[in-house]
Amino acid sequence: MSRLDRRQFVAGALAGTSVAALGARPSRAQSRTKLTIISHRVHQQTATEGPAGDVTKPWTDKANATLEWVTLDLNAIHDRVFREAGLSASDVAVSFVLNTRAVPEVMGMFESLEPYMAKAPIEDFGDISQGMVGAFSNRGARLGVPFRHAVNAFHYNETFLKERGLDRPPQVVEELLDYARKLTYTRPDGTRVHGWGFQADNYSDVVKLARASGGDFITDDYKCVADQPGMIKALGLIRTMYSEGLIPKNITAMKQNDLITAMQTGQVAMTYFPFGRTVLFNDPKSSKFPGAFKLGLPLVGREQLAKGEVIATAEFWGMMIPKNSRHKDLAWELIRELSTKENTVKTAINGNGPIRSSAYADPRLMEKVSYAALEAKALKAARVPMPAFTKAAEAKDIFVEEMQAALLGLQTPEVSGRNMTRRIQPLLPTT
Amino acid sequence: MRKFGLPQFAMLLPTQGLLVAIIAVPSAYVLWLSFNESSYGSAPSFVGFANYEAIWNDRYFWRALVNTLVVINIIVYGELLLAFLIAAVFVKGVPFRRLMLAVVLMPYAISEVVAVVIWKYLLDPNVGSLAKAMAGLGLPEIAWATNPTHGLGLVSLISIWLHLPFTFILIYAAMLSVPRELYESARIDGAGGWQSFRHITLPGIMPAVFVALIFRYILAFRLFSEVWLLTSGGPARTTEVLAIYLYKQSFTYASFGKGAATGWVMVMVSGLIAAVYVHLLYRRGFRRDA
Repeated sequence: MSRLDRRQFVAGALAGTSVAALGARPSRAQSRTKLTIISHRVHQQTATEGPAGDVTKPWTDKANATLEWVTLDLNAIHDRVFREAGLSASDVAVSFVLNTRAVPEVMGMFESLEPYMAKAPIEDFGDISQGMVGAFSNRGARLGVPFRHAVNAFHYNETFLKERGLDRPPQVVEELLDYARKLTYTRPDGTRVHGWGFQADNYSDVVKLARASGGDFITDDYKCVADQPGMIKALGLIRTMYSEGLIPKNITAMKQNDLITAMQTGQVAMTYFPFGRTVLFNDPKSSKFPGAFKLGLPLVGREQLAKGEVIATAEFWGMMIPKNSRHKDLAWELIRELSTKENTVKTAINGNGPIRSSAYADPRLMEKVSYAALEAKALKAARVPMPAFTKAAEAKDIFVEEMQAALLGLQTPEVSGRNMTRRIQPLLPTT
Repeated sequence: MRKFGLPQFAMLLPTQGLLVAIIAVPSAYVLWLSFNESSYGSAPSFVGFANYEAIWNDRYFWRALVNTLVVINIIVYGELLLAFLIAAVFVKGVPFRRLMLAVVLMPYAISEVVAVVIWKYLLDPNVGSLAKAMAGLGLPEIAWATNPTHGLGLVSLISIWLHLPFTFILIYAAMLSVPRELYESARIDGAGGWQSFRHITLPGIMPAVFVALIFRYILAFRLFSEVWLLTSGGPARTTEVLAIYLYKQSFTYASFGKGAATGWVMVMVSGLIAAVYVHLLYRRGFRRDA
């Protein structure tokens, strides 16, 4: 076989390219408008996959549009969203923003939705949680429409409870330590079970423990109260559990996915996670204990239980249209479509946290989502674990640093609490 | 001497243009940014040296700098020592040389992310097979998640494991290039093993050693993924290195000015270290060949 020389190669390549160019015909997809959405993977999943199917399809067909979902991790999403919004023009149509990142400094980069609402309002807008709407508003103007909430639940592995002779999960935070001790053991198959696990690279779980102990982290009027007894108690509790080996040794290096895997593989017996994660814990494809994971409301203090109080934390996501978007009208149409009552129910069946209270009255949701009634109860009482402000990311890092120092016994809970307040208070807005 | 005219200059232009576009211009932009306060949604405002002053006064910057310097010295010299030993064994002759070479070079083909995940799971204190084996043998536990010394030690180990092939191949090639006759002459003259090494091998491979040191120092200074994937700088920010500090300033706190200033400090420190070795390389390596 003769070898190609350079001229033959170049001539062949050119001929091939020309044929390809001549043969190319504009495809149907090319004539469609491409809308870029920047979000977390969970938004795409709940909008396009699951038992209720792809809720965007009827709209994309009607609007002759295709959706390009750019899904990233939490920090990367916001970095990309705000960078894109800072350009002179962008193909990004809809940006998903977490409530803690929707601070006044960045609000100016997004469209006010008031003119759009006046022209083509969202179906029964009053049905959408107005607390969440308020988080995406600035100076009286609405800039975002809530899409998803993540309310936390208390998850436990019932198999382990039975193995340890416990006939019910803990009811109050005062019981947690005792339960964690009982649920820390080695199973006959050699699996080492830890009674308690939590996200030690975040603040939310410890804030719940602090609130159950009558304390808080940052109040709604921006006072850091981490040096108060409630938080000190919570820090003391996790320190005790860690020092007694009731929490996995490498908890500080465990990411959210590591903790999910630890639950699924039976390394952790109890934890906090959003309600929807129970589906993942019980998934026969990935869990060693399908069907064994149950959930309840986050733990409260004994006195709070007597008063019927519910402690729950929630974070939520809103859809915003960048001011520099080339497809603002289509973006608004898409937001309207995703926010209809029907689609809110459908995305909830796909695993989303529905932002309409009416969704929880829908019989389809109640039938398919076993925890819907409990989640509705938690949502009603839910508060964000930390209010939004410009330096929220720094405050979070300081909290995690001081909390981990207390957890590992590098300093006392009292010192950690005092340090949190001393370092975080100057970062908070003065009201 | 060959003429360097317009055609030669034109031929160089695309490469030089590319370098200017992708290195010089962004570097200049980052330098300018380091003198500004900048974040999302606000136009940069000139603040002079305030960003440099802020990081100078930040104890986390100093901790990250110290961690970086300690870790990169362990990595660079650990790698060099190991590369040297393995190359010496190869030069003496090993069975199945090609296969053994492939084995030594293999880690270089593995992605950093994959490598860190593998090590992380091997040494997971709860389920890691290596951690369990060590416990079974009565060896002390590597508490990489909670003990900063262990954490940075494991980072060093992973980095050495990943990049050893680079240093090894340079040293091995240099050792092979030392003329055999010199060793024969030395032996005839009664030189021992140490003397041969000291007066023949070492001078012969020094240029390669300096090249390896320069490249590895510069690359190791950017150490990020090993730490980020293993400890994320924790617990309590004790294993943070400069690249993590920079990442946090820029992409977590959205303080682009401080991030840019940190970037330039990194360039200056690694440039200084590299300059020392470039100087030594010139004096003891290339100059005699000039």
